[in-house]
Amino acid sequence: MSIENVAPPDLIRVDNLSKHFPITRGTLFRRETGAVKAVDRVSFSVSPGKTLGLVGESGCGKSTVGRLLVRLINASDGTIWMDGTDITNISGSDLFRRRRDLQFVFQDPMSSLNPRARVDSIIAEPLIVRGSEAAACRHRVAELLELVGLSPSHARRFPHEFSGGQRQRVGIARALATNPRFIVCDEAVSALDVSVQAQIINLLKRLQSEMGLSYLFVAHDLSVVKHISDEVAVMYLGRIVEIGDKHKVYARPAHPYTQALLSAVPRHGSVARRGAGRQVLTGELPNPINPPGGCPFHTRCPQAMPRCAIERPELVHVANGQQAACHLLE
Amino acid sequence: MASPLLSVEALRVVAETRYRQNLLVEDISFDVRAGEFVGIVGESGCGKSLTALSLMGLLPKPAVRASHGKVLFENRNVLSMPARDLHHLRGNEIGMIFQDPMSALNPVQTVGQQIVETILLHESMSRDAAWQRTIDVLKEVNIPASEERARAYPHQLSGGMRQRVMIAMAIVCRPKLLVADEPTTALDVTIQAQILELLDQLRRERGMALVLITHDLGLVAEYADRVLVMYSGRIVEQAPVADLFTRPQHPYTRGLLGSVPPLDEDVEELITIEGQPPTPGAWPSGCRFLPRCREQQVGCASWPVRLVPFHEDHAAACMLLERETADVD
Ligand SMILES: Nc1ncnc2c1ncn2[C@@H]1O[C@H](COP(=O)(O)OP(=O)(O)OP(=O)(O)O)[C@@H](O)[C@H]1O
Ligand SMILES: Nc1ncnc2c1ncn2[C@@H]1O[C@H](COP(=O)(O)OP(=O)(O)OP(=O)(O)O)[C@@H](O)[C@H]1O
Ligand code: SF4
Ligand code: SF4
Ligand SMILES: [Mg+2]
Ligand SMILES: [Mg+2]
Repeated sequence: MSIENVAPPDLIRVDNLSKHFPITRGTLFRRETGAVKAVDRVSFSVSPGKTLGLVGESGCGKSTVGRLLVRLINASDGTIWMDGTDITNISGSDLFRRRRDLQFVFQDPMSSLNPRARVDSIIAEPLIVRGSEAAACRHRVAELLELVGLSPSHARRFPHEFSGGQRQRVGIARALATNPRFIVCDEAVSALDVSVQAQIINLLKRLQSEMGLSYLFVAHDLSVVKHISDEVAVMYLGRIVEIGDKHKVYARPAHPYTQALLSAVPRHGSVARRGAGRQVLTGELPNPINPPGGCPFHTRCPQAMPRCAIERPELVHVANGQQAACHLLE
Repeated sequence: MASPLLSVEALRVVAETRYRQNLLVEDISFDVRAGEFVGIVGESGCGKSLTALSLMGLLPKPAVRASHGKVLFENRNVLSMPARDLHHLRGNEIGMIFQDPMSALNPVQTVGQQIVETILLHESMSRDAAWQRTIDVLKEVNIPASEERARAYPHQLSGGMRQRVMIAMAIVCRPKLLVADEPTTALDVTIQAQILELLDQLRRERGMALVLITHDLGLVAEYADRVLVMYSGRIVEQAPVADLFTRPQHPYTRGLLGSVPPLDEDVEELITIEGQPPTPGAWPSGCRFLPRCREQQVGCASWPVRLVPFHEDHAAACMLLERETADVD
């Protein structure tokens, strides 16, 4: 095998990652009565400079995957690799060193930024805890503010003195302070007005191409995810039901759930499409505490067969760089 | 032509404090015909909800009130209606769905009881008959096992189910117009699709007119007959839906359309509108979009803003359009 044919090494690789949250009953004598499988054996990888988009309906486990990757919570099972090193259970100074490379941007910048701190100390905090000197911090803050399209003169303001879009820029500046290589953006543009959302999306894409960043981009808006991602993973009740190159997944979705999801998105590009071939799912989202057995989608799937209620489908290749978990594809 | 079901004329809404009056919504004029689906789009704070509340005389007085204009429902002015008539109007003639169903439902009463109360408030019939009607309307909004669900409390239902209960409550007295303020914003896309299909189906089957307020241009493109685009308290463009998406005339509408990544094609960079919408009180005089407008020209600041007709039923509040149409003449 020649060197040229070797695929670029993954920055992040996740194998059979699971997160179970215990469900407890009683206040005085708490006992565990079960567990929510918030994330159930998911596997994927993210290459340097690339974006993996994560979509799915509320409660399917998207945020939990993001929090696992930046090690805000611990995995119940499975492995997270970064640069080929197992970081699933690192702690203390090992974790502190890794944190430099792993950052997080949240949905609501107001609740994630300390309201009583000025913008410069918010952005510089990750640098200060790493022992940077005051002058170096000041310089870096000014640089970061410009990078995200704010003015260095904004450094002494408080978060409430900014608009939502500007606060999100502050959140991004803070995430960039340590020169990370990987950023989890959890609904980072979801709360913004469309015109402001487009500004932040363009900013994230520009920063990626300038700095070679990798993103895990979590969002429920399928058109935004398509625009920003290289690959897309679709989750349903804790599992990845389809994953692959965005063009393939969006043009030829293989899983019935992905098909329904895409069909449900209203499109402004095609007034002509109105009413034609719209597939509307019946039924509600199942309760994640008590998910359906077999294929988790079988209670709403228009193509469900008897075996779907019993056997869990595993991911299979449906095309080069596209996998889906459905018995119809086996 | 028959007169429209609803006709809003030069509506102005202001917030009154002891020291000053803040303009929130200004010069809103539009019609809704029987059975028509009208979409109102615009970004946060542009005045969509205040416009919707005005239609039913529900503005939070005295803090906010309509200081000018008319809202004519079947030629009766809602803004000057006596309380008793207003009460009859709401529910019987105009139904309303709010964005957050949890805040509009009573948590300690079953959803069935709440619908029964709504019916009895507006019509005289026995409790049994009202209960039967409740079950029927829950069926009509596609709630499975409706007898059982009628006995459930709001918190025992999913978000999509609660929103369907709200719709049932709004349509149970067969209004001629339904006003829905962001009815699906809090819901997942597959559930959102269910709700909109339901609203559209009710409109077709009952011949009910629908005003949908949303910030989602896609929803409007899929369902509405006509669209109003609002910016900073004003209507900046109104058009039949196909016209709006194929030949938007206002620079703000064009910017808004460019800001949404298309699902069916690839674009490298999104067209954005720089800056953010100004808050009421900080509005520039003249065209309020001017500070963000890429197409602005000398004269825009002093141009007396008004909707300039462009084509049948299509108008935009932009000076450039006025110049263009003047050139043609
Ligand atoms: N700390 C926790 N304790 C118990 N259960 C949790 C916890 N965090 C998440 N869950 C549960 O795990 C599941 C996945 O939640 P998660 O927040 O990851 O979903 P999500 O896909 O991000 O949803 P959304 O789109 O609403 O943000 C949900 O059922 C949620 O209730
Ligand atoms: N009770 C009130 N007193 C004073 N100002 C108000 C009041 N209610 C609303 N406003 C202001 O009026 C403007 C229009 O509000 P409205 O609720 O109609 O906006 P909207 O278009 O519905 O926005 P959103 O998309 O966020 O719901 C906003 O700037 C708001 O701050
Ligand atoms: S495995 Fe069965 S239920 Fe699941 S998506 Fe495929 S056909 Fe539908
Ligand atoms: S009137 Fe002038 S500033 Fe306003 S939208 Fe038209 S071109 Fe832009
Ligand atoms: Mg989440
Ligand atoms: Mg509103």
